[in-house]
Amino acid sequence: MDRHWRGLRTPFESISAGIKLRSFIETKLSSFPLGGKITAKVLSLKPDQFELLGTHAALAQRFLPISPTLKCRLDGQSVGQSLAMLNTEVEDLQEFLALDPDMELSRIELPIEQIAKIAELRKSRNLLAKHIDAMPLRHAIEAIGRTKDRINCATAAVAWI
Amino acid sequence: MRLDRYFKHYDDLGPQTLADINSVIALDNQIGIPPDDRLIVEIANLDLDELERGLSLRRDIVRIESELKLLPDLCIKNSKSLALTTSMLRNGVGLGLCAQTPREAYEFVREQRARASVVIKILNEFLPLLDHIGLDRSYPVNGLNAVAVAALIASKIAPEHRSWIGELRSLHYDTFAPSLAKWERPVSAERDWRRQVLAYGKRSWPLVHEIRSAAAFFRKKGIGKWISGRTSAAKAARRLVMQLGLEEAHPQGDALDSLAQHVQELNRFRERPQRGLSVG
Repeated sequence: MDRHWRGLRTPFESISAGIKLRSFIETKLSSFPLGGKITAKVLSLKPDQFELLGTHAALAQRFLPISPTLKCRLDGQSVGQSLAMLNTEVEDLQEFLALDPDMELSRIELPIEQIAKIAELRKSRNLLAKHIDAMPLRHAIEAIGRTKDRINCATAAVAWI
Repeated sequence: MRLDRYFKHYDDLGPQTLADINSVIALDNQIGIPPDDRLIVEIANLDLDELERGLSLRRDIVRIESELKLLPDLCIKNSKSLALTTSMLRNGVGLGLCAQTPREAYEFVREQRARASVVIKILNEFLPLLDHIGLDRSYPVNGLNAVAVAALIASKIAPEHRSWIGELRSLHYDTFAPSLAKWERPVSAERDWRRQVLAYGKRSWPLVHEIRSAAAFFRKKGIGKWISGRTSAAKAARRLVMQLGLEEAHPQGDALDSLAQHVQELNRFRERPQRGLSVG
């Protein structure tokens, strides 16, 4: 106080405002996690640093509405860990979307697992057909093995011979 | 009789005795009943091993086709496109979305990506802010609310108050309030006095004893005032009243006394800087 003494021109009002603002900051921040730590940091700022802190208000306004979601997802993690995790997540999501870049499959109104099952069955059928195509007897096999009954008969006939 | 005729007709078959006939029956049983004469003719000259392998493959194809018949028909015939779904189920993200249609899954994934990108952008923007207050990326995310609120408060604080927030940190309002009240009284009185004597401007006040002398002179009446009217004290009193822009009149004595009192209080205030104030 001594160094601020200017008699009647001592900045009592400024000092008073400073005390009130300090108290306001302490009260306001103490309701948040790590509020005490941030209060100490803020109160130790020089006026120009304080001004610079205020320039981030727009960011703060964008951040506060999404804060509850973040709290659920990233609670207990540091900013660095969260960034690493989210970057990996975006890469994974990107990778998934890149599987069908033209969104061709979006025309099919079936669950992915069902489409996958059909795709697997078709693939197996095509593979088996390829094996048959490679056989010299392919025409006979196709003609004789058209239906399940004919296959059974032909198999029995082969066994009989 | 009929048996006798049979043996005569098929004499070349060989069975001559009942035992021979039993052997032929046993052989016939072993051979079994041929499944289909025409089929036997059709396949008899083929490579039976290959045919058997091929039929086994055909059996699998027929089974798969009957399974496919039970499933919905797809508008996309391109197997390569359909095979993407298999890749999707091998993908960590896709596995969790297997019960959704591709359209729903794409929509969900796009939304997730957009949300995550917004958070990444905001967290990245926080890094310079954290750095600014002496923190780094190891700072917990759940502490960002306090940082954000601090930035909002800082943006609303008037420039003239910024320098006082960190000053006199140990000074609390309860301790400071009495000092403030002691300061406010003379300041308020000073404001009033300066308003009353606008002509005097912002000059320093005359000395207390000069004001008191002037007050004493103006309080005099009649002969007393007439006698002292030509003294240097009277001249000084008139000059002072003129400087202050007050009119020469009897009530000015009281006003000047009051001003002297005020100036004395100001002097006292100036002389006791630390007493009662040195809390910081």
